[in-house]
Order: sequence, then C-alpha cells, then structure tokens
Amino acid sequence: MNDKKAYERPSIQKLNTGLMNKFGTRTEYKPLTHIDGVPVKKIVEEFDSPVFVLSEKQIRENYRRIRRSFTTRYPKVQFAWSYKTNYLNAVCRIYHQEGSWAEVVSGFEYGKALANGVPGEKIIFNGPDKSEEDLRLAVENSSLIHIDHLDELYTLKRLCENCDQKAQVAIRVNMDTGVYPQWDRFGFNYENGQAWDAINKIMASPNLQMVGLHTHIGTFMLTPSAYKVAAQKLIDLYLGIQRKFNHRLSYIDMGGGLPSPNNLKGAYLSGSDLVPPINDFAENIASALLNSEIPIDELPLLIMESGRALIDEAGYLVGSVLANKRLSNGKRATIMDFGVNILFTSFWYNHRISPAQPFSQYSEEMEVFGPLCMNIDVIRENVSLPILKKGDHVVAHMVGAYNVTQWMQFITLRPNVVLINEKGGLELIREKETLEYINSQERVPEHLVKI
Amino acid sequence: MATKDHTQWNIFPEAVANSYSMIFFSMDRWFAVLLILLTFIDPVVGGTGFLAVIMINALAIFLGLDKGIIKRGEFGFNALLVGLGLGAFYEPNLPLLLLLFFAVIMTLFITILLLGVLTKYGLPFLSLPFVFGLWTVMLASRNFEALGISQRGLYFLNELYAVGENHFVVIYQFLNDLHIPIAIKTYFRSLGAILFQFNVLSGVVLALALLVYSRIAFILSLLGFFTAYGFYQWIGADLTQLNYNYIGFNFILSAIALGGFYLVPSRWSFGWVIILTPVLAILTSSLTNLLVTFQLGTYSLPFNLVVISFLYVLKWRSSKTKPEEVSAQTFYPEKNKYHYLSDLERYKNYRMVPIGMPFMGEWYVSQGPDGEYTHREDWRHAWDFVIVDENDLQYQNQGKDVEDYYCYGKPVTAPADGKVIAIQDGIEDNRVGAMNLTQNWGNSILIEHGLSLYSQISHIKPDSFKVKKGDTVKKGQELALCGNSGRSPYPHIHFQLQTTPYIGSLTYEYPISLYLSRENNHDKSFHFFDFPEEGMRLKNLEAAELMKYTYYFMPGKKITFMVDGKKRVNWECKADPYNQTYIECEESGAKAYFQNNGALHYFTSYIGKKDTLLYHFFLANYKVALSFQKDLKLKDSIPIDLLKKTGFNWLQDLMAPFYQYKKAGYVLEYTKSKGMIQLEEVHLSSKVNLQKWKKKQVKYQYTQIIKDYQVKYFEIQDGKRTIKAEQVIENI
Repeated sequence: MNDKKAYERPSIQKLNTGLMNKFGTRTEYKPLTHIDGVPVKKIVEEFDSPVFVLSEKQIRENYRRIRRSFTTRYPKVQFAWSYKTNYLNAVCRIYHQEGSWAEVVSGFEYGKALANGVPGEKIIFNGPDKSEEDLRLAVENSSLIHIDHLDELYTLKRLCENCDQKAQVAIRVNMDTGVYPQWDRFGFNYENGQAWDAINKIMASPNLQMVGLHTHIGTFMLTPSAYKVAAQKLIDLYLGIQRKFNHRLSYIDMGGGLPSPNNLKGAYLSGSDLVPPINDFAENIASALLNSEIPIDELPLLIMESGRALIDEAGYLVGSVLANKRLSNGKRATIMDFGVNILFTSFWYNHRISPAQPFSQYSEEMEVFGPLCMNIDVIRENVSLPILKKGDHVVAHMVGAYNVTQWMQFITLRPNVVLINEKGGLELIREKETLEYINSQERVPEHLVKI
Repeated sequence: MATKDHTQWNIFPEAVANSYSMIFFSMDRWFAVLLILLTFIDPVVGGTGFLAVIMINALAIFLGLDKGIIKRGEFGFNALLVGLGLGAFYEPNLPLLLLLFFAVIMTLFITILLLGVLTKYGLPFLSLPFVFGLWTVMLASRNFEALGISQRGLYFLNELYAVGENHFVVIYQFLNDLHIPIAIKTYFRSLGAILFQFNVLSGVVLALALLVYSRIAFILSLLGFFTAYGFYQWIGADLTQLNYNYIGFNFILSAIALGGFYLVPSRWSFGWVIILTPVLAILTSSLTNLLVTFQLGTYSLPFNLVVISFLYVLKWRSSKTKPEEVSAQTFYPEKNKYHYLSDLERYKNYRMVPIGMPFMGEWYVSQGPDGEYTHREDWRHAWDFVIVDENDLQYQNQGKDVEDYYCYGKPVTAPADGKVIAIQDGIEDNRVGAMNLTQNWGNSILIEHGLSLYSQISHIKPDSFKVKKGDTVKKGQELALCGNSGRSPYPHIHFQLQTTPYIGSLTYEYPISLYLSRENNHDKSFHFFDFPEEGMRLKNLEAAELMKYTYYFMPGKKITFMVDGKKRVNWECKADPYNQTYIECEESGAKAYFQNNGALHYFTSYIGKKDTLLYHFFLANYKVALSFQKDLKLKDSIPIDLLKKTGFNWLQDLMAPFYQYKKAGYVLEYTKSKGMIQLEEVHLSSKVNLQKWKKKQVKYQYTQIIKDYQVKYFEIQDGKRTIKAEQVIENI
C-alpha cells in the first residue's frame, strides 16, 4: 500500500442509539482489488465496465470439491452440467473437460451441447418443452430423455413406432419431500400414482427403453433431508420396477437445486451461515441409496444436475459508480453502471458488493441503483458501503449462476464476459453486444424505410 | 466323468512312449520314439524293456491307478529299466519272460510304496524302484537255474550285424577307429549305459537325441560327466570305474535332474551340479565298495540318493534363496526357465484374494508402508488414508476441528467380501492434534477374507458402525465412518492386512488388487496387485459387469466362432479334477488354461497346436483387467516357447540358464467403450511383441470388440495376414 491515500469526500453519520445489530456494525469489508491475482483495474481497462468475470480456477476447484463430496460417499456418481445455469460455451467446456455430461431443457440448449462436442448419449434432455424435431434428434443420438408429461410420452411413442431405434427414457417424478412449496408442475406425481401410470405405459411400449428415474425437488434447497426423502421415493419406484418387470434401471437422477452460499433476500442469516454444506446433501442422498435394499454391486448410477452450487461463487460482476445522490429522505444513493438488466439475480439475492480500491474505515448506509431509467432497477435496497465516488469500481460477488443466461438488452446492451484462465490470463469468452448485432436480427418493412 | 473302461485305454500309447522319455525327464514324442529304436540295437534288451513297459502300463490301467501318472510314464520308466536290465543280463527264454512279469509287478508295488512316502515330502521317487527291483531279482535269480547269464555283450558285433547287417557294423568300426579321446568315449558309453546299451554308437545317437530334445539337458550331461571326470583325475581315483562299470551315467542324470529339471536352470543350479558331482563320486565309490560284498551293482543308486536328498535340503529353506525349484513342470529345461522368468514378472505380487481399498472415491496415502511415523518394524505394511483437495490440503477452513477435514465422517467400506470378526467401538474422537496413546488403534474393525487373511481398519468415528460382529460383508459395503479415535492426531483411516485374527496384529505384506493412482493431478496410472505408495492419490477401480461376464468362462459354456465367414470353430469351457479351468478347442484338442479372480482374467498356459483360433485367443487375452479405463495399458511377459516361429532358438536355449536376449511381451490397450451409464461395448487392442537383444518387433496384433457379454468380434493380424472371427450366437 505505497499508493497515495485516495481522497474521500467527507460524510456525516447520524449516531443511532437504537438496538445494536446482533452481528455488530459491519466494518469488515475489504476491498477486492484483484480477482485470481488479476487487478480489477486492468480488467476494466481492457474490457470496459461493466464486465462479467469468471474464474476458471474457482470453477474447477468448486466442481472437484462438490464432486468429491459425492464420490467419497457413493461409488458411482456422474455430474451433468445444467446448461440453463450458464451456457456460455467456454464455461460448459470446462465442465465437460472435468467429466460432466450436459443437462439441457430445450432444443436450443440441446444444439449447444452437441456443438460443444458432447456425445448424444451424454446429454440429458429435461423440461416440458421438447418439440417433435428435438425428440427425434434425441432418440437418434441415444440421449437420455426425461419425460415430463403424458403428452410427451405419447408423442415419443408415436415417433418411435417408425424408427428402429429405442428411445432411452426416464420419467421425472415430483413428490412431497416435506418442504414447502412442493414442486409439482414438472413430471409425474409419486404419491397419487401418476408416476406408476407413466412407468406402466413406458414398460408396455416396445420402443421405449426405460433407463432411469429423475426428480428435481426444488431450487436453492436449504433442507438436506428432503433429498433423502426424494431418494427413498425414487428407490421405492426403482425396486418396484425391478419386482414388477424384472427390469433393472441404470440410474437415479437427483436433479439439482443445491444452494450456493449466496445471501437470499428476506433471510435473516447470511448465506454462509444459512446454507448447509454440500456434504450434508451428499450424505443424505448417498445414505438413502446405500442403506436401501439394492445390493451393493448393483447400485445404480447417481446423476447430479447441479448448476448454481457449482458456479455461483466463480462469477463476479465488475462495475463502476456512475453517480452519487441523496434521496428525499436523506438516504445516500449510488448509481452503478450495472442493473437488473444484466444482474438478474439481484431480484432474489442481496449480492455482496465490494469496492475494488482501498478505502478508509468510514462507511455509509446507502441504496444501490442500476443505470436503467426504470424504477425497479435496484441492486441493494440498503447496504453499508465505504464512501464511493464517480468512477470507482465495485465488484458484485457470486453472480456465476443464471445471470449470463437470464440477462437482457433492456435499455442497454449486454457487456463482455471474461474468463480468467488457470494461468491468470484474461480471455474474452463473450463479446459485448453492438448496435449492429442487435440490428442485424431486425427487419424494417419496405414502407417504413423512408421516414 | 466318462465311463472307465474305454477311455482309460486311450492313454496307453502315450503312457508307453513317455515311459521311455521319462528316463530323461522328458515327455517329448520324438525323443521317445528315438529311445525305443535305440533300445532295439540290442533286440533282446529292447524286447524285454518294451514288454516290461507294456506290462506295467497295462497293469496300472487294469488296477485303475491314477491316469495322469500312468500317462506321464511315471510308472513305466522304472519297469522299462528293470526290463532292459534283465534283458541285458540274462539269456532270452520263457522263464525270463515269466520272471520279467513278476519283476514288473514288484516294481509297480515298490513304485507306489515310494510314491506314497516321498510325495508327502514333495520329493520324486526317481529310479529307486528300478534299483530295488533289479537288486531283488538279481539276488533271487542266483537260485533260479533256468535263467542263463547272457554273454551277448561279449560279441556285440554279431548282434549289430543281426540287427542292421553291415551298415551298423561299418559305423561301429568307424567310431571305434576314430581316435576319440578316452574321456569322450567314456561319456558316450555312460550315456548309452542308461539304456543298458554299453557301446559308443548308442551313446552318440543318444547324445544327439538329447541335444535335439533339450539344449540345456545336453550341456548339463556334459557338465555333469566332465566335472566327474575331472574330479576322478584330480583325486587319482580309479578311472576304470567310470570306464568299465558304466556308472558315469549317474553324473549325467544328476546333472540334468538338478541343473534343469527340478531346479530352474541358472548359474546357481549349474554351480550346484559342479559342487555335488564330487559328492556323487564319493558316494558312488563307497556304495560300489559296499555293494560288492553282495555282488550287486550300484546302478543309479548314487544319483537317486544325491538328487532326492538335495531336493529335500532345499525344501527346508525358510527364505527365498537360489536356486529356485521349478513350480510348474514343463518337462523341458528351457521352458522351465522361460516360464520361470515370465512368471517372475507376471505373478510378482499376484494373490488369489483380490483386496481393494476401504473407501469410495479418491483418497490420498498420507503414510505408506515403512512410513515415517507409525508404520515401522512389524507394523510396517500399512497405509494411512486421508482426502486432500486440489491444493493438497486435507482440510478446509482452519483445520482446527475434525469436521474441517475432508475425510472425517466419510464412509469406510469393506475392501473385499468377508466376515466381521471383531469390532472395537466406544473410543471418543480426539481433538485435532491430540492423540490417544492408551487405546492407540481407536475404534477398529477386523474382517476375515479367507484362510489366514484379515484386514483391519482403524481410527473410526465412535458409534458409526453399520455392521456388527459376525455379519458377512460384501466388497464396497459401507462399514462405518472415518473418525479420529486412537493414535490419530488428525482424521484418517489406518488400513492393514494381517494373518492373525486380532486387532493390532502384525502386518502382512499384501498388494491391492486394482486401483488407479494419480500423481501431479493428471498422470493417471493403472495398478494391478501393487502397493500404494505415500503421496499417491488413489481410487478403487471396480470390475465392470460387461467385462466380468464376458470373461466368466463357466465350465460347460460353449463358444462358437465363425472364422472368415466360412469356418466354424467350437470351444468348450471345462474344469479338470484339480479344479483347473480351461477352454478346449473341440477340433484340435488344444487347451488354454485360465484363472479369473473377479478382478482379473488371465491365461496361464496353452497346450496344443499353435495355429488354432484358440491359440490366438489365448495370446490376445493373456491378461485382461475386468474393468474399463480408456487408454490404459496393461503389460505382461510371455514365455518365448509359447510363441511359434521365433527363429532359431538353440543359441538362446544354450544361454537360457545365464542370459535371456529374446523376450516376448504382451500389451493390452483399452481403446474405446460405448454405453455411458453402463458399459455396453468395449474395444480391446492387444499386441504380442518379440524382442531380440534391443530390437523389438510386433508379432501379432489383435482387435476385439466385446458386446452383449461376449467377445463379439476378434481380429488377428499375423504379419500381412488378417483373420476375422465373429462369435456365433447360439440360442440357449
């Protein structure tokens, strides 16, 4: 810290005599000047602000850590990368390099997985929206088709009547795992017998090869024992199929929904205190399988479709302060150059925000806004941050999941996405959009050409 | 089992032939034929010998004695020697024939008596039955007036003329006229004397036959004889003993027996031949002097005594020293050596019970055998396992709490099928850094995996056992959770194998059957019956169902291949009474012996013609791990005699006891697989290499596709020739 101390504008703080915060005043904020050893300043200089930054090192480390939680508890484990969480090709390929299969929920994602070189049989096709064309392709490629509803089952049956290949299918099962809300809009219900109905129909059709069972009990699950209940219910179906049809399924897919240690809005505790460790989830799932009636040498493959838990922590959003202002009630407001347009997840998380340069011990309560000319564009309603001035850089944490798939070019265009490779080099993995790019998709009718 | 009467007699011709060659520890067909012809140089000797062989083998079959022993000629060769002896000493007449018959019965009895006694000690009976048999007859015959002492030996030329007319006589004269040094002449005579052919001609023929049968046996015959000759000269002993008493063959037979048959031919076995020759000479002299009182010849008694006693001495060895005994007899000294050399590499650490590691996923060896901390002295063959992350750290956060350690609370599994013998529970986990030295093993479990094989896992989390004493457990079954109890400053598991059923017994050096190791994060390597080392990241490699069932050649299973789309080849899997399993080619009778322990299939030997599909199948699947790991290679060594057409081998044979310049190797590569969830198809590519000095050359190349629990497609690349075979699916 030989740098000259940065100038900070003076600030006035009201002394509060109310109840003390149970956790004390938050003064532990540290500046995040480097990501994986690369100066934030350099990233902004090279790739502008805002910019998404992903760390390959953290992606791999996280993946291996979570994978280890499972493989040291259960002998046959396979991860399938959830494309909807982050389908940038570079990101997907890191997971594929690590041995992950692909889990896709649309024809578009399916195409992306194929283009990433994933063999058809390593693609799991989930979701309620699979066109006939998608299904036909999936059957041809021997992909694992997880049937969501009876209409899909009938379509698939009809398609397969005319081809000599059997479709590799599983059903998605929804169930009561003791948590609220119960996700019952996808797949077939376990308790009311829909699941068995679908199983019977599949087992009766010669062109469908039933290979597994799938469930996905929810998202950002905070109750590990729910997975145990889910696994037990799937095992019950598994054993039932074995008894009834003398048919052994190959895998049990427990879906995703594992949480990342992000701060949920409305939660009293911070993410790191609230979210159970992945080990607990692994323990619940593995013990349900190992302690079941299934003989040890016939255990099915366990597939995990985790997305968020694997990548959230490896993603950063680097932005800059556009302006400071004071609201009518006297509260400080800071306007950043990124908003809900690209940080979609700020709708449900209180993303931690760190300044990217050193600061003094003084901090201010403030509201952080995005750049949109739209009232909803709020990043943090209330956060205590050091004194920031125009042009200062900030880093939003844990933005790896869902943002670069759910972002939009509402009002402004989408920025660069940069990957810090394992050697600390910067790689542009998605170029920021340009006006030409957006316009190239548009067509102007003849009569509107001349204005 | 087939009916007795008909099949028993099938072995008769083979038994007769082997009765001849077995004198020289051989089962070589051509060698036997030559020996038969050679005995007929003296037709009476040949005739009585042949009759004796016929009689004893017929008698043995009639009595229903062990087929294998009969077939190998082990009953026959002693009777043959008695027959030859009687033929040589007495005039041929009816009384002699009768006497021969009873002598044969007696020889058989003596043989079985000795067999029963000596086999218990793992010793051969050699030609002791012959010595005792001939003595008995000789001693008794002094009272039998009907027997006339033969004088044929005196007029040898007459006999030669009778058999081969002028030709033999000419050769005989030629050999006699040649100024062969007396030593060499005596060598030939001694050799001939083994078959009671007391002449140089027989000796020369026999020497040549011996050379063709086995180069090592031939040089051993020279080594034994000339060492003796040298010793006699040096000590000033009566050389006539060697010249006229025809006892020189004792040295020859002893040299072959010890130098290359019972012991693996090496400089050690050769050395012992040289050392034991004077012993043999002393014994011969003393026995000759002793027996002369009874007017009995020593015959092969010295050879018998020296060989049997030396083999017995070797059995008392408590540590592995040289020379090594031949474990699986091939009846060729060269092969004994080649098989020994390749077995040395093949079965270095091989054990019948495959033991895995007691965990799931990838763990790390924090202390290996002969470790720095506790794996010392009698407890040195043990491993400590922990889990580490990509940065080689065993814990997250600060590592101050046991829960910070990755391995803490992780399942501990059964390393192999077995039975829980003992469980020790109730010892609290230590805080990180502390140790419980009074209950140093901590919570432990002991599992019995077979006779005198136990595994112990220690430092388990208290109250986490999922099995109890007396439970049978399956490999990979969860037993308990990793903890930090006992002498454990940080969470880990201690794993050891032992031969006694107590917690904390001395450790036993035993390899892990099948695992993948990873060093520097990426270099994966494959281990078979190997010892994990400190600093390795390890993962159990499980057998794949497809591979397991494909190589499950259950006795009775029939396999049919269609070769090049036209020729059908049928095989059947069988098991012999000794529980040895093999695949037999119906057409040629060729047999490929194999073993399978659930982790590994390997062929142990091949008997039969080397142009069958089975022969190539044997080479292609010489050793196969029953799992799949792409791009991993498996290597092995093949005895060179199992390859055909490897060029002129005599030089290598001669050098074999000392140096091997010609080697055959096997490489198996797992090239491709299909089926993502379960293995559905596996592509194997194997190679057989022949290495001469430094030059390596690929001899055969094989491609196999395994699917539907069968070797579906089998391609042989033999030089420029390609043979394609497809398995025909029979409806069961």
